[in-house]
Amino acid sequence: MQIRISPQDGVPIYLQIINQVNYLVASRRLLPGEQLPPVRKLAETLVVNPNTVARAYRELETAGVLTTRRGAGVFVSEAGRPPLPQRERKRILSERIDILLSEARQMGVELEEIVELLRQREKAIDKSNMGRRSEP
Amino acid sequence: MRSIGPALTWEFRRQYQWGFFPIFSWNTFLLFWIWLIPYKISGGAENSPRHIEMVTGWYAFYLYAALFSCGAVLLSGFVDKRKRMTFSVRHYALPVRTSVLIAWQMVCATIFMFMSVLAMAGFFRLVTGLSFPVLVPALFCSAVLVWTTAGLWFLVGSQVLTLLFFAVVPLLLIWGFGGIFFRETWQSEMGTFGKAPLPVLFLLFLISLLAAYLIGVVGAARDRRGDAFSLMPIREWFLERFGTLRVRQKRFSSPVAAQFWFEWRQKGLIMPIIAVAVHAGIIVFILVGVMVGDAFDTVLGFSFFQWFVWFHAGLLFGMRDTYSGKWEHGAFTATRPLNNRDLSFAILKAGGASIAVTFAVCVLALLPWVVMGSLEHLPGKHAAHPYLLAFGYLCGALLLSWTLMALGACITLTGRKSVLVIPLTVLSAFVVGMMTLTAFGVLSAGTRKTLFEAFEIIIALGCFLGVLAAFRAAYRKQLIGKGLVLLPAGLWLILVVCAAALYVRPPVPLESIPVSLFLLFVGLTALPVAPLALAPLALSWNRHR
Amino acid sequence: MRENVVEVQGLTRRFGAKTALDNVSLGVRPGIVFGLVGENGAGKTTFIKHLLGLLRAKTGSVRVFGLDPVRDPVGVLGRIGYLSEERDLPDWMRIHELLNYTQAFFPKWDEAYARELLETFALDSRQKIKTLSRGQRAQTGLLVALAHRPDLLLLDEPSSGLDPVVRRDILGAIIRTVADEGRTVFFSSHLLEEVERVTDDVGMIHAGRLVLNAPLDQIKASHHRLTLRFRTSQAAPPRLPGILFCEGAGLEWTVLCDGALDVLRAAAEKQGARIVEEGKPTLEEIFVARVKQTVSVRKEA
Repeated sequence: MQIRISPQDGVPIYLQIINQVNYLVASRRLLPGEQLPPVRKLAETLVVNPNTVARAYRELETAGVLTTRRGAGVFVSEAGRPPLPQRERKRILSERIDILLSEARQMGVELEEIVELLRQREKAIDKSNMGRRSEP
Repeated sequence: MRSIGPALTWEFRRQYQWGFFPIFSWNTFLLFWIWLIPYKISGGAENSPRHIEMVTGWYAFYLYAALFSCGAVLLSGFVDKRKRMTFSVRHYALPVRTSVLIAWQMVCATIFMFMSVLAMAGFFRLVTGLSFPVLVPALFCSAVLVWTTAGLWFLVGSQVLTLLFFAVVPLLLIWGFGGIFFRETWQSEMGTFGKAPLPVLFLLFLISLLAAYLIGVVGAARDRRGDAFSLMPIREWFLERFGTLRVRQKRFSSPVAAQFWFEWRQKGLIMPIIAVAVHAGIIVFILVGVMVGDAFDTVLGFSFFQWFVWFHAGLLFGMRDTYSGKWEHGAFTATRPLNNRDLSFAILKAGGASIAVTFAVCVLALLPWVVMGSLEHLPGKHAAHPYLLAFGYLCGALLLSWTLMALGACITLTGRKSVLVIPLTVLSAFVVGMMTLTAFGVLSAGTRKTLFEAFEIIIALGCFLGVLAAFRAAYRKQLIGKGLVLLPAGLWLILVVCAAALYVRPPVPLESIPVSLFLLFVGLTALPVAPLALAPLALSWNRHR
Repeated sequence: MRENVVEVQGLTRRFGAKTALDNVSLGVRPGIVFGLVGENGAGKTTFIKHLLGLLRAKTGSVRVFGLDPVRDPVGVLGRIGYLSEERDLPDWMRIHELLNYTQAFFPKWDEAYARELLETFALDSRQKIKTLSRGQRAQTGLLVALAHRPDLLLLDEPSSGLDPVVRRDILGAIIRTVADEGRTVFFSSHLLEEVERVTDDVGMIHAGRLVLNAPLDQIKASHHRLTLRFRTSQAAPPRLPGILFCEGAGLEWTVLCDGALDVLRAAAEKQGARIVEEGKPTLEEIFVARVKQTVSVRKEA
């Protein structure tokens, strides 16, 4: 499980973990039923406080993304439950959009141009995804 | 500061100024006093000129040895972080040639010796009226100091060789000086020596200085390059050939045992090794045929008079941060989970063990003489039981060594330099003051006698009350328990009873001892048990600042 | 809620004319990592020495595990694993001798764990401590502090002067200690990136005074960094309520504030500025801002 933590980010570390786990689950790099490393192991790998990892795991469990099986460890919740509540998804994306919009404003790019750019980029990603999906 | 010489001299002076003069006074004036008392008591130069000459000879020897040791220790360079007697990296990194550094050092050494000898001779003349030779001893001592510095530089890479050098040089000095001083006509001899043509003397001096300088520069340059001559290659070859090092070690039965091992390993073997070295040296001298007659006296003297050295050894035992030489408690030993009593007692135990081993070595060395019956010729041979007397001397020496070692340890345990420096300075000042007053006739014999008696009683009371206060304080602070208060009290009572018995029925007929001296003696008997309270107090004062 | 592992109240300490600690009060909860942050000479080592009993609390009180470290050195030191800043280890010992010696003092010594750490750090137990490199000395000191599984791991500037590999070892040790139930870590550092990664609670010390003492999350949540753009060029730093630090020139100024975001916004608008960027400062920025603020406050006073 590839997670990168940057303490300088301004975003609290536990939130970075939560976001990245959510992203991994949403992009199917973490499959339902897959086991996550225990708190201690992940803390050592990321070189962060175990309490922070524990908190991230707790919140993900409350959100329904992860489940703890007694004696076995932490696993991704089974499919059927949505990987991310709508509210969360919108919040993450809103943050990214805010950054995009403020930059666009600085550069003097109009909203219509941005929307057009979005459509172009989606087409390009779809094309490359198609190429990837055809591989076994 | 315009140039290097003055800059380095200034730094040297600033670094050592508070430590140097007290140590200097302690070594020279105390010895001077030991010499002066018999001289003055015997009424000056008119009385028994032969005796005076002998004693003066001894004094001269001790004086030069003391000056030499002071100078050698202090002028061998600034001790660097790796605790070798060499310049630190900081000095090597200065844009200064090695030859200039060494030249500065040796010039300072020479000037130091000249001025010291001049000062001592002048003081000597002032006090006793005896004119002491100045030029020849000064040249000789400077040469010796310079040569020692050169030797140290050459051997700086190897601690073993440096120690050996320090051991051999004094023996050579004794041999050389012995040739000059310990003969009947030393003053005339010195006179003759001093009457040699001055240019010749100076030429000899300069040549030897030059040779020493070259050796010193070579040694220092190698050290600066990091290429100092050392025994490491030999050691490594040895280890490679003869197997790996032992890794197994026995477990410690308790924290106190572990701490005892620590203190013992660090410092405990120093004195025994010195004892072995001295006795080995004496054996060498006997084999070579030198001082055969004096050998027994030397062995006896070393065994019974080593108590003086034990004070200094005690100072070393008490230092809590040996490697950096600082007096504050090092963090490593301070954070051991041991209470102050156990920690201080581990130190005292290590010191005691060191004393026991050293005395065992000395007794072993004495055995051949005992077997040969030399003990019969001891002073006081008319005593009924010479062996008992010898045994008594041994016990006395042991007790004295223990007391001085433990008190020395307590002084450094406090971690405050003032505890050592202030009493020494006061003592030196007092001694010098008394000597001057007596020599100039300000004090009459009667006043002096009363003064000494009063002084003795004050010290006796001071010791007794001081020790009592120490035990009370230690008990109050919960550093020691009831057992450790009653036990020393019992021991002290035993010592007092022994002292009283000796006073009433001395084994050797002595002249009548004044009561004040006896009281002083009784007061002093409190000192052997004092460290049991003083050590935890001192350690606690140092560890928790 | 168990009692605090460390409880310090009103601790003041002067060395001659210099005040090393000025009325410092803090408590360390069990099972967390506490980071004491401050620049060199701020008083961190002095504080830690009080915890070890190496300095007596002349004013105020110090309790570790509820005990006074001066009165009960065995009870306190027996449960602490300490790594000093100078890595004070006896040079003449070999590593295996040091381990054997230290073992005698701590009944909870775990031989297997010690051996495991020796292997992890790749240390040769036959080596003399004198010959170890700086990083290896730190590793040895850490080993000796960890092997008896102390209830409180006390580290004084653990990462100073060490390469990234050894620093990782040290951080790893901190993490593993806290992951074990109930054990606490207290360390002082001026490497704030590391502090940000591993601490739960942060205490900021400046010139002997505790200027901040709060959980890390709380500190990061309450501090904001704003970039203000003024309509007219400002010759001097703008005076706004509640800012800790201000930097910039001309039209754009970056300020750092602690809470009171709305008040600041209102005041900024009154002065003719609008907020063009809003972000979270790093711990280092917060620290520098706080230190400089106390300095400038003193200058004005």
